[in-house]
Amino acid sequence: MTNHTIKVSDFTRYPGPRYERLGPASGEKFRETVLLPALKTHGANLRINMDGVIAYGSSFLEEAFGGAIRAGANQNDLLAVIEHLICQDEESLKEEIEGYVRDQLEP
Amino acid sequence: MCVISWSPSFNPWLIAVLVLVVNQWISKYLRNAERKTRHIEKYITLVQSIEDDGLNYWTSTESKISQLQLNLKLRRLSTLSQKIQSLDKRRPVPKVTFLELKQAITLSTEDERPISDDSERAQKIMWASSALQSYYLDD
Repeated sequence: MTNHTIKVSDFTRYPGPRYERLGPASGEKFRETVLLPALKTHGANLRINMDGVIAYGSSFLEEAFGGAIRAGANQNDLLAVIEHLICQDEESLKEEIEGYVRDQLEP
Repeated sequence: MCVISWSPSFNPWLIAVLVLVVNQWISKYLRNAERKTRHIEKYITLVQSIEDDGLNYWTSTESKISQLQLNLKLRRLSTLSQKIQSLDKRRPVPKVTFLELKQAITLSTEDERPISDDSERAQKIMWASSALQSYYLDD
């Protein structure tokens, strides 16, 4: 099966707050409208390109990725997607995001 | 018996090439050291600015600083530390402390503002800023 890539910059160039009610381009909206549907369709073959946005706040990242686990996403698929995360603009994002996902997996 | 002897002969071309190579190496070293110093100065200034803005944002609901501005400054800080690392391998990116500063400023579940100066979040902002500055000042 071929990989499918989504770009966060197609969703927004200005990632916003955690929740939709707090402002536009939230982590919650990215998770619900982009990440979870793409994960459901492509599973571990999904690739996410994080580059091309102004900057990410931690709340956006935690709600999008940690929130995906809370919303019932397949943990193995999500960890595989994070392993192949494209983040050349800011290399530390990968570790940060993985930390949020693993925090949700700990008992 | 065969005796092999070596006598150093003065070769002006060889000396000239050696001098040129050493000269270029020293110039490059000095240029990199100067760039590193400039990046570190920018880094320290930026950390101070982020600390001020972060505390200002969290301790006042009337702050004119936005989360986006804070995110942008933190991103610049991350880029600067990568540049410093590329010029000096003994200065790897301080990932853990940087993440602590970033989370203290941009990780929240609700808008908890205003917080007090001695709250846990404010203390973390101050501690992480100080630790990042010390990391680059201890040269």
